[in-house]
Amino acid sequence: MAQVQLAKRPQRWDETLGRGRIPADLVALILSSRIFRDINPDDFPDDLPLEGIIANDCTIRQLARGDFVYREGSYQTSIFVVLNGGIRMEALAGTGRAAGQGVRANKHSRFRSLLRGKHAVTQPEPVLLERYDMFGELEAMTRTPSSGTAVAHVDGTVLLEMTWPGARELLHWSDAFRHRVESIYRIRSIDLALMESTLFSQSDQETLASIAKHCSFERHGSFDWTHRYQRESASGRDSARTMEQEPVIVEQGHYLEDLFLIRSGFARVTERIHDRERTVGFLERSDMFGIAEINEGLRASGLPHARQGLRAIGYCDVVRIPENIVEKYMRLDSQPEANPEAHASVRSLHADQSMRDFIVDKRFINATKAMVIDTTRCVGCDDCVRACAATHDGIPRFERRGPTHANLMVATACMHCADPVCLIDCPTGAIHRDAGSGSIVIDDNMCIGCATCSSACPYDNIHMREVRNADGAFLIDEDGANHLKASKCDLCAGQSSGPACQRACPHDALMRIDIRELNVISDRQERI
Amino acid sequence: MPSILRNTAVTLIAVIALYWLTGFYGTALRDPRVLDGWVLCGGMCAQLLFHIRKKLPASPLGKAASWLKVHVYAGYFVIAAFLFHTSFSLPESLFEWTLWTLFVVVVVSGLVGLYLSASIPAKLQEQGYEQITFEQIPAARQKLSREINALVLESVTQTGSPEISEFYVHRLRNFFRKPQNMRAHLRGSRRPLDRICNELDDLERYADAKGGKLLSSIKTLVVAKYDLDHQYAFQGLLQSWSFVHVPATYCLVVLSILHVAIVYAYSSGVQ
Repeated sequence: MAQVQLAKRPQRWDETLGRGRIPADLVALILSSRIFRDINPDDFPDDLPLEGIIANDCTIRQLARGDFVYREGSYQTSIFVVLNGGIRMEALAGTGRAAGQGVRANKHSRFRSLLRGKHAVTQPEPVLLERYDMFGELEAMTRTPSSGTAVAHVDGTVLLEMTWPGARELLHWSDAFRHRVESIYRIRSIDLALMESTLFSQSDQETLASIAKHCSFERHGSFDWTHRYQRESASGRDSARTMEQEPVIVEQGHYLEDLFLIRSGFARVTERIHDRERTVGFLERSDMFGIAEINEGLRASGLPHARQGLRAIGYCDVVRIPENIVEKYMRLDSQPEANPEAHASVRSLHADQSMRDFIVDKRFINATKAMVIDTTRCVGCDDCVRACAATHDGIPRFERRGPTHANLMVATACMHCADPVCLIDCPTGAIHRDAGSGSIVIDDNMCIGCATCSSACPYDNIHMREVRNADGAFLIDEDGANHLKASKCDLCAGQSSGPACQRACPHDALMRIDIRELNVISDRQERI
Repeated sequence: MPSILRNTAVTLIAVIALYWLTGFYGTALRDPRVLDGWVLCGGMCAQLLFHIRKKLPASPLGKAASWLKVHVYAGYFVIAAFLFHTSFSLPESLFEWTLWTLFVVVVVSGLVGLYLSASIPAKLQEQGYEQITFEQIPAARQKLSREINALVLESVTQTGSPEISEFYVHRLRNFFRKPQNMRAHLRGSRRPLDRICNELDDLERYADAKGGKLLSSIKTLVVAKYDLDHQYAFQGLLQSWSFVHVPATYCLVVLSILHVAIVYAYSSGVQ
């Protein structure tokens, strides 16, 4: 049996990766269209030509009337351009042309509204997208589930689907493209934020459009926050120092002239004690900040001042609504007296302060499926590791070690983040969200072993493993270096019974949890 | 109702039902040992299912935690069946003694394992040690050993005095080389650590500033090594009980099959 086999290292645009390629004549036609005409090919580096991006990282989709492009709540990471025909957007905000046209709140906020006994939210008219309209950029850029459903409106609809690697390169190298996408992104972000907010759920689309005119959009921090976070973690700074590095959105005690709606990302709510800040909780998409202060200011006819501070954790997109607009349009039952629950907007972690700091400082609020081990129950039998190995060709996809606080250890296993930064720079899109489950999975056939995802993961949860052929020989390239593939927990994708690690734990010590569902944490803490 | 109460109640009901059934069986002029014997045999086979579940960690056979619960409560039931089967009396022949002893070993090791599994992780947690897996302990010990070696070499070059290195050779080299004072750890005693620390304090009294600083660092490493040994002792205990429980179980199964064969071979139509 051969020990090693010489093989060419896979490259980004290799045909062997199994993707189709758009023919050159069609690429030329696409680039001459209105939407790409102002993109300068000279802006792109030689090894990443514009034609190559369109040919290799984009696909053409032909749809019949009624075919779905994607559904509300599903995960998709592509930006689409209508080349022919039309798309009906159900429950999505305006197209940029029709700012303020409606969107239905996403599943998350609708569910929350139901819990809070809210009225049904506005059911907007579908929006029709025509030739050269763009959509999908919100979901692709923020890595969040779709806010609406896109359906082909007419037979013969043709879409250009820019997969995330292609869209990322266009955004990176072309100022014209970036400005166009970002302007649409900002307008739609405001529309969506207003539609998702419970404050204005009784307002009609016309009203929302007029509110939108007064709103502004801000980004604090950077989408690509991981490298800075890694540097800070490595420096071993304490919690207070870490917090000081986070961009301030609202300073405690300052005049609060706007209401803040969190559009995407996370924000830390802080309180100043003497000259230091402590974490009170966090906010995520659809949460708001400042409503209690604004209401209090209205009642007392005084200026509202921020009782707490707000900082972006990593990055945070916010929509600011001026105080006078809030006062004018806010639903009557949104007043704190009528609905106090809605105003307890801070997600105050049901845990002690040190646990709260641990979770927020380590950015575990990002985790939707963290592997948390209760160390007062774990006997170290390694059944979890064996179960993982048995499910993944004998190689476990996690390590039973990791940051520990009190009795909870967050093991080194992919947490399937709400904001998966590992996806951002993957050159082939091999690491992606499963459209249905939202889990982060790696397509082994498309992974070229560049280790970009592995170095981007802020939690060190993606590892590179050596590749073997069917006979067990290691694949090496011309330089003698091993071929590598990224490897991480896939939540035992394909196994109907869920993650094997959790099922294999005989002492119920291992949980796969959304850390934001913090009652699980507090329950476990109370046991000790 | 808390699950512990529910499970206990179900087990008690099963035990009472078995007691009633064996009594009923006897009243019907049948040998109740046939009934409770087969129940015992069935119960023991059911206990083996947990081991099979553990051998198939990736199988979609439900949560291992639920299997363990069934294993534990079914185990209590099997103990009752065993007591009924032996009529609460001691065995008479060597073979019966062997079976009886193996059963007791399996039960006691299982109960001890249950107790250790429930108590040791919590105890280690309470003591606030840095979490380390059993497999990582040798590497951590080697790291400490390398650090102490470096400190001792530094003491020779920096102080020019042999006291620290001699102390290391006579008192600390073995201490850092392998796990030490296991019995003291299991008793929860810190006397061996106190002894070494006292000796280090004695040395420190006569050391200069550099030597004092080095001794202080050495003391930190000594405490770290003692704590590591403490973890090793308890985590080892946590791993070791199954080395009694599992082999004894397999022996018991083999002898039980033999027991059934012998009973039927020498019976003249048991009812």
